[in-house]
Order: sequence, then C-alpha cells, then structure tokens
Amino acid sequence: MDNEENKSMPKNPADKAFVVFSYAFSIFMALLGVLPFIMLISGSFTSEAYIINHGYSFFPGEFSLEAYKGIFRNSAKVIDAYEITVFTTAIGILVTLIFTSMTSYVIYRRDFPWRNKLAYFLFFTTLFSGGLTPYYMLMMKLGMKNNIAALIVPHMLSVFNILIVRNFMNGLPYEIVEAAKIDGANDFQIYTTIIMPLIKPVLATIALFVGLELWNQWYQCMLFVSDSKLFTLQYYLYNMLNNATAMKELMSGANVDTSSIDIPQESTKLAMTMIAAGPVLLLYPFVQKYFVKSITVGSVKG
Amino acid sequence: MRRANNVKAYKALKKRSLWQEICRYRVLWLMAMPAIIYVLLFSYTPMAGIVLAFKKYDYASGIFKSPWCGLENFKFFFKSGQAAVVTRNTFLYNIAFIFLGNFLQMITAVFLSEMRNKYSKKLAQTCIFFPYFISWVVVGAFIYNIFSVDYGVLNNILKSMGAEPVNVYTQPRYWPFIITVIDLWKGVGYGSVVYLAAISGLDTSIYEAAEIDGASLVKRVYYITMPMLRSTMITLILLGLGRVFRGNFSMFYQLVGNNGVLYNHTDVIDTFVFRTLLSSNDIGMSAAVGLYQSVLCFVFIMMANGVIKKIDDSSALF
Amino acid sequence: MKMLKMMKRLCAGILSVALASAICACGSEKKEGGEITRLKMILPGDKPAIYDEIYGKLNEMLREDIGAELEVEYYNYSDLNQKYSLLFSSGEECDIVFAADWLQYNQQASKNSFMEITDDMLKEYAPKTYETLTEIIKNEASVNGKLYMIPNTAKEYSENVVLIRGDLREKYGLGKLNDINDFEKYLTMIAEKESDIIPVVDLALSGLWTRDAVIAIPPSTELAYDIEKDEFVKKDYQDWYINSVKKTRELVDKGVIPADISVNKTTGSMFENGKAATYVKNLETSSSMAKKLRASHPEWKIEMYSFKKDVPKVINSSISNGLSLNRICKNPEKALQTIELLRNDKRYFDLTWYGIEGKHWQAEGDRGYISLNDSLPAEEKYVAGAVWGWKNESMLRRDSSEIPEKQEILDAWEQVTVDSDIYGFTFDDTNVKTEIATVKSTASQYGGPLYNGMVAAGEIDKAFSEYQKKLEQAGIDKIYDEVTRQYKEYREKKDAGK
Repeated sequence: MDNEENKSMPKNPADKAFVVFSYAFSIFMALLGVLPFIMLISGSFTSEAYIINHGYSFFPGEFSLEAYKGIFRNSAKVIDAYEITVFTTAIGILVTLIFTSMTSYVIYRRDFPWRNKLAYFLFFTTLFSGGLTPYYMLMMKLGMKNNIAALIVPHMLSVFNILIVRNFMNGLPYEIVEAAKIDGANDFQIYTTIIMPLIKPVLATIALFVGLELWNQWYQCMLFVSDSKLFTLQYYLYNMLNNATAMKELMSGANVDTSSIDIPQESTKLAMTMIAAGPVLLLYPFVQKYFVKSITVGSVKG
Repeated sequence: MRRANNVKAYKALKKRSLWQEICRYRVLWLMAMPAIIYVLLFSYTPMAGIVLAFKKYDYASGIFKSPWCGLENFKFFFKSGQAAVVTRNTFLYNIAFIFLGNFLQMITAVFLSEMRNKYSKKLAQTCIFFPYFISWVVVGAFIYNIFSVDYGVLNNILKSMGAEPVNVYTQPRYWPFIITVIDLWKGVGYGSVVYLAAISGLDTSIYEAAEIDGASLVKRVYYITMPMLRSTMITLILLGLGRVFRGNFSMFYQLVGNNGVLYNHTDVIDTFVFRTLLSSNDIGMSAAVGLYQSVLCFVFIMMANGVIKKIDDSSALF
Repeated sequence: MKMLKMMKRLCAGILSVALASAICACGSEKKEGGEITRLKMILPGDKPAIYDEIYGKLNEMLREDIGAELEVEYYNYSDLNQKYSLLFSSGEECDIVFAADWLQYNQQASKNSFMEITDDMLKEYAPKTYETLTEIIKNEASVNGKLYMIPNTAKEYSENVVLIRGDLREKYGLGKLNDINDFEKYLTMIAEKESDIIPVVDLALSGLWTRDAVIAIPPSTELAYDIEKDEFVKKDYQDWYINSVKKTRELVDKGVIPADISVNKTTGSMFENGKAATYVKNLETSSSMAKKLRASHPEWKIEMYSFKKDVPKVINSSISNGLSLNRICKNPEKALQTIELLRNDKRYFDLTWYGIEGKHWQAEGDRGYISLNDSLPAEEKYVAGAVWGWKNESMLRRDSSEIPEKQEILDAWEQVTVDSDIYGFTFDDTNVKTEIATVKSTASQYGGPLYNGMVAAGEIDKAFSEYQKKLEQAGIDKIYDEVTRQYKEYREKKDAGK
C-alpha cells in the first residue's frame, strides 16, 4: 500500500554534505516545533497550583489529571462535540474537494476564453465583504439557524484553495489535455480521468487545509448554533476558555458574584489543546504520504 | 434604413456567436456553475452591506432605509492620529510575514524532501507542524513565561550570567522581531505543505536526465527544484498580498494585549478598531474601516498582479 | 448508526435551506395551534445544566397562569457583545431581552433596539412591577423620555473590598488592619519577607489610596462625576487620579506590585492557590471567595476589609441589570405578564433564582435560605446565571451561610450613602461619537501604561502632560462641554419639575 521509498544516499561528498545539512536543518526546525509542544503536554498533566507557582516545564512537576477530568466532567457533551466535528469535517472535505478541483479545472483550461474573468470574479470576493450583519441576515433567511448545514456550507468554497490547485495544474504539461481532446474525450471526462489522478498531491494538501479549518471551526457555530447538541469541539472548548474571562471584563463594574464562575485554569487550557489537536496529529502521518510521494507525469502521459 | 438593418443583423450575429461560444464551452460553464452561484449568493449578495459604511444605522429602518451620514463613520479612525501608524504597522508586518514566511516554508520543504529516510522525514514534518495547533492564547502564555521580569526563562538566564534583567514589555523595539519570529514559527509547518506538494508534482524525468548529465545534488536543487517552485511561490505571495492590510487579530491581541507602551510598534488596524469600538459596537464605524482595508488591499493587489502579469503571465492570479 | 442520523439531519437541513429560499422565507412562521403563546427570552451566560428541569417547571406554571411558554436562549459571555448587536441589527425574532448599562443600554435604545414600555402597558399587564418603579428608577431607565427597560430593583454598590491572609498578617506581628496605612505595611512586609508570594496581583487596588468620591460616567469618556461637588470632571487632570498613579508606581518600585502584572494572565486564580496575598473584587465576589477559602483553607484566616468606609457613595444605577422587550416583540402583553411573574411571584422568583426547593435550597423563614448545591453532583447543581434581570429586593433571600463581615460592610456603606439622582441623567452621545472613540483609543495607549504602573516615577508628570495633550487633540473638551451642557439641561428640567 505504501509504495513510498527511502531515497538512497548520494555517493558524491558534496551531495552528501548537502543531505547532512538538510537533516540538520530539518531536525532544528522539528525541535523548535516539538519542544514547546512537550511543555504543553507536560503542563496539561501538571497540577494547577504547581503551574501557578513554578510556570511550565518539560516534565510534570506534580502529576495530576485534574485538567482532563474537568473537561470530561460532562463527557457526553464532549463526545457529542467530537461526533459533530468528525461528521462535518468528513462531509466538508469531500464536498470541497469536488467543488474546488472542478472550479480550478475550468480556470486552468487555456482555451476557455473567460478563465481570467472568472478567476477575477472569484478573487474579488476575498477583497470586499459587506460585513457580518448582511451575511447573518442572509444565513438566517436561508434557515441556517441550528442547522448542521451552517457548519459545512460556509467552508465549501475557498478562492485561496482554488488558485493553489490551479497553480498546481499549470505545472502539468498542457499537451495531455490536447491529446485527450483529440482522442474525443469531453471536458468533463478529461477532468475525471486525466487531471484528477495527477493532482493528488495538491488535493491532499487542500484536504488537509479544509479539514483543519473544519476541525477547528467555532465561529460559524457561535453565530448560528444555540442547540448544544450541534456544538463543534472547538466551540465547546472556546466557550470553556473564554466565558469566565469575558464575563469578568464585561461586568467589572456591576456588583455581581463572579467567583462561582470557573476560571479556565492554565492546565485546562493546555489540556484543551491536546484534546482538540490529538486526533489530527494521530492522522497526520497517514495523510503525509500523498504529498511527499512523487507522481510521475511522464508515466501518465505515455 | 438598410444600414440600420445591417447593424441589427451584425449585432444578432455577434450575439449568436457569443451564444455559440458559450454553448461550445457548456460543459466547462456547467462545471463552473456551482462556484458562480455560490459566490453570487454568499459573497456578492451580502456585499450590499458596504453601504453601511456611509450610513447611520438604525435598527428599526434596516440597512437600506437608514439615513446617509456621508463620511462621518470614517472620522474616528483618522481623527485619532493613529491611522497612519496602524496602517503602516499592518502593512510592514504582513510584508515581513509573507516574504520571510514563504521563503522559510520553501526552503524547509526543499530540505525536508532531501531527507533520505522516509520515517525520519515524516517525523520531522509532523514536529514542524506542531506549533500550528497551539492556540494564540497558549502562545501568549508561553511568551510571558519566557519574558516575565521576575520569573521568565530569559531573565533567569540573564541573571545567572550576572547581566541586568530586561523588561521587554516596556521596550517596544524588541517586538517587531519577537512577533515576526513567532509568526514564522507557527506557520512554517502549515505553509511548507503546499511547497511539498509542488515538489512531488515535479516531473522526475528532468532530475533523472540532470543526474545522468552529472549535475550535483546542490545544482539540481538550485537549478531545477527552486525555479520550478517559483510559480507556486508567486501565487502564494500574491494571495498573501491580497490581505496585506488586514492584521491577524488574535495573534496581536494575545501577544501584546492591552499594553499601551508597545502600541506604536505593535498596533495593527484590527486591534486598534477592536479596542476603540469594543463597547460601542458601532456597525457603521466598523464597516467604514473594513471598507478602508478592502480598498487598500484592492489597489495593492491590482498593482502587484499587474506587475507579475507583465513579467510572468502564467503566474498571475487573473 | 450515529453517522446515519447525522446524515439524515444534514439532508433535512439542506432541504429546509432549499425550501426557505424557494418560498422566500416570507411568513413561514406558523402560529401555534391552541391557546399557548410561545415566548423567547435572551439571557447572557451559559445554559444551566438542569435547564429542562427548572424551566420545564416554570413553563408548567406559566401555561396555567397566563397560557404562555418561555424558552430561553443563552448568549455566552465570550461572544455576547457581537451576538447581542446582531440580534437587533438583523431583526431576529425574540420577545424578552436582557438589558444592562454594561451592554450599552442607552446606545442600544437610541438605535431603536427595544419596544417602548408605557405606563398604560405596565398598569394593565404588570401592575405590581409598576408600583415598584419609583420616579427615580423610571428616570434612570428612560432614554429620551421613553422607558425601554424594567430595571432591577435592588440596592447595590460596585465598590471593591479587600481580602487578605490573616495568617501572614499575624506571622509578621501586625494587628488588625485599621486603615490603608496598615494595609500598606502588610503589603511591604510580604514584599520583603515572602519570596514566593506576590503581595498584589490586582491593579484595581491602586484606587484605594485616594479619596475619590466619583463615578466613572458616561462610560468610555475619561470623564467622571464628582459626587460631592455635583459636577463632571476630566479624570486624567485631577490630582487624586495623578496621585493614585504615582502611588501605583511607588508600589511597583517597592516590589509590592510586579512590574509586568498587567500582562500576566494567570492572576485570577493566584490568591486561591496561595500565590498572592490580596484579592480585590466587588463585595459579592469577595464574600463568596472568602466563604469558599474559609472552608478549604481555614489556616489562612481570610479577613475582609473595606478601606473606604467614610467616602461618600451612590447606589448603583438600577439599569445595571434589567429586562427589555425586543422592538419586534409579537406578544408584549404576555411578555410583560411573564416579567411580572418572574419579578413579583415568590414561586417564580425562588425557582429561577435558587432552584427547586428541598433539592437545591431550603427556606429559612421568609427571607433566608440555605443552599444545598454543594452536596449535589455537578450535573445536578443549579447555577442560575443572569437571573439578575429580574432581581427584586423584596423577593431576595439571604444566604444564611454568608460571611458576617459582608453585612457589616454594607451597613457601614449605607451610612455614607448619598441620595443622588445622577443616574437619571442619560447622556446622548450622538454629537460626539467620533470624539469618544478617539478618546478611548488615546486612553488605552497613553492612559493604560500610567494606570498599570509601567511609567517610571520620575516621568509620570511628563507622561501625564503628554497624555493630556493627546486627549485634547482627541477632543476631550468637546465631550466635556457636551456632557456639561446636557447635564445642566437635565438639572434645569428637574428643578422646573419640582
């Protein structure tokens, strides 16, 4: 299944030096990424009092599962949130990939006379927006309140992704399209049988981007969902994290008892990151093979 | 009379030929239709809200019936004397993020792809991705742990070396550096994925040919890989430039917070507006600043795209 | 299975979107069959874990009493501001809305967010409420002469009190803290002797050293109302304010306040975790913290003080919490009847404020109660949330396990409370909106560092004169003139009315 190969080490000393440098650089960058993360994991397993008194460290100074227990106190809700998030992410990725690749293909086709106008028509929407109020009114009119579609539809089309895919397609030799046309394939067939297999690496990239966006979304959920059964994971965590702080800021003047509101504790913040990021990090290595594996255009051409 | 008939006939012909053209590409048009309908509905329809920037919004009258107020909504932004400063900051930070970021992401992708062992490659790539998942709230807390005057790691090191502790929170000049480094660190894993995908899309036959010709690895990377990544880089930079006057609110807010001492070096349009309109929640005023940002981005991206189009037509966005 | 269910849900969702766009969403709202009117109310905060139990019971009573049902939608604090203004700007349907000065009641009202509540409406549908609304209260809650809110009726102060660690005080041989100087001794002692404990983590305390009988209104203007002189002043020009900034810096230099405290985000829980030596919050919050810590850490011997017992005070404006009707409320009659019941019917009030009798609380006479919440598991506890919207002094019960100092302090404050109708004055900011926004950004850039004690002692005067110059550029004088003018008009009108 995994037909990705280890590259062989070059024999030439200059090339060897280059490879060694590549390793050194990559390891350095990896350490920059992983060390704070270890601190984060360790912090999430440390007692609150210890963090307040000693700050973060690489090993839990005083081991404690309190933070995780706190989040899972209402485990049914967390599980619901996981389910909603997995579902919307899966459906969202599928729909977006079809949508994005199809649109990119149209503006990639050099013989399509309106391709630049279409690209501009799409790109323009990233520059100007009417603000939140009209958008909100539109979504409410469309019946998006407490509708699971409100969590998918807004992510379906990203102009950014379309242009990245188009750029990737531009790298393919255009003769393959022309050859297929001569063979009598129609425009849609060229897309499904010729282009799709060749753009797998960039589709994997887009799937990753869209997947992360959907997985981490809370904003649409905040706007349109009040039914807690439809909360996404990040929105659930976002609320835990920000509610108390926001309340204290808002109500600093009013004489209202705010002590009973649970202050999101330091260890809890860290544990939340783990809970939200964990599944993605476990899956990430499996996605990787699609964009580190070379696709040989030549073989398809032949 | 006849002439008019001719014109009519010509117009009809032209119309028909346009129609024929469209019919000829009907499959492509059909394929583009979902996207066209989508942006018409979800992006262009709400754009009518732009008029709010020139209106005194009254809830009972709604968007279109509220009274006009000219440029009143723009005044607060320009009157503060901070407009130029925050616009400059937003622009300069973004330029640094876009150019340095893309460069770092590209070379990271190149070096990663030169790793020989596939498992260490995957492991390194995963590790580089980690920072993406750390929310800005937590990054803010980490930063405080490093720079805190009494307890921070940095000052502990300085003290143990007998040096004077520094309170970076009162020293604006360090912040452009800190913020840029943090942004690069957080985005490198995510950004390098596009470059990795582009590298895997490269035609391997060219490499093989170059290798047979005796080109060294360094040369192959420098003369084949890098130039072939150019159009990807241009696309990504252009896409970045389309947002060059929009600041990353959560980053600046979580790293700098309400520390007025640093504002001259760290305040971006989005944080400034957030602070200023926080309690009034004035829809007209925020629409006004949004429009200001849009227009600047629009002008800038049109220029950038025009320049690129002259140099390298196929890399331009449109 | 679950996936299948969600898939069904999605299909239903998409179908409803398609239908909504097909029939243009006009008049798709169908009236309920039968006699029951459905009302929707917006409250800030989290939905209580046992919402269904409490509000299910409430609805049983409501159906019987007035033939209505109430559904509450909760807006979380983290996005309250945004969702609250979207509610009105998009014209979303709901009947009763929580309103408060900290949610910009005045500005919302002048943008036509609410429905006017007339005397006739009150007399007919909420007669008991009508009786409790005195002229002063009505004045406070009126905008441009029209009433848009039924404010809470309770005596409240927004002043902060101080909690300290009695064990540390005794450890260093200090007696009970009689005044602010004793307090400073306590703080300096801790700064010198306790290396692991931060004396102060709360900047709110810097105001304790000055005798500032002022109220910070109108909000975000950098103006303040001087209670004793009955006039508005520019806060950042007053000696008492400049001195309090100097005091803050002095405390920073003494090591009492950490230099970067305003950046530290973990200060909230430091006192609880034994990392900080003081806790400065409003009376309600401090009292419950003291109660909690006396139970969990009796060895700390928590003590509570108010160091400004002799400074004149004004009771909070009644609009600090209340309920309004949405501008497009469909059933104002039933909505008012509901508010009337929530506020003035003991069954409704007790249920929404304290939970189910016998399970969450036990009555102690007519005016007291014992909370049973602590003995219940988390998912059974009742956390009432923003029920302050219908707070009513005559319905309130006192928690009998409350710490005794709370009442003592309240009694002392009552002695120095001044009768004032200042909150009846509502400032109309239409003419100076731009200036207020500009002053606000100036204050956060130049005033913030001063307040936070980040400016070196020797440079404070210079920084203040620069700050004042910036404020003038921002137009503080225009705001000041506008406020003074409107206040004068308000006074004249009042005097003429007498």
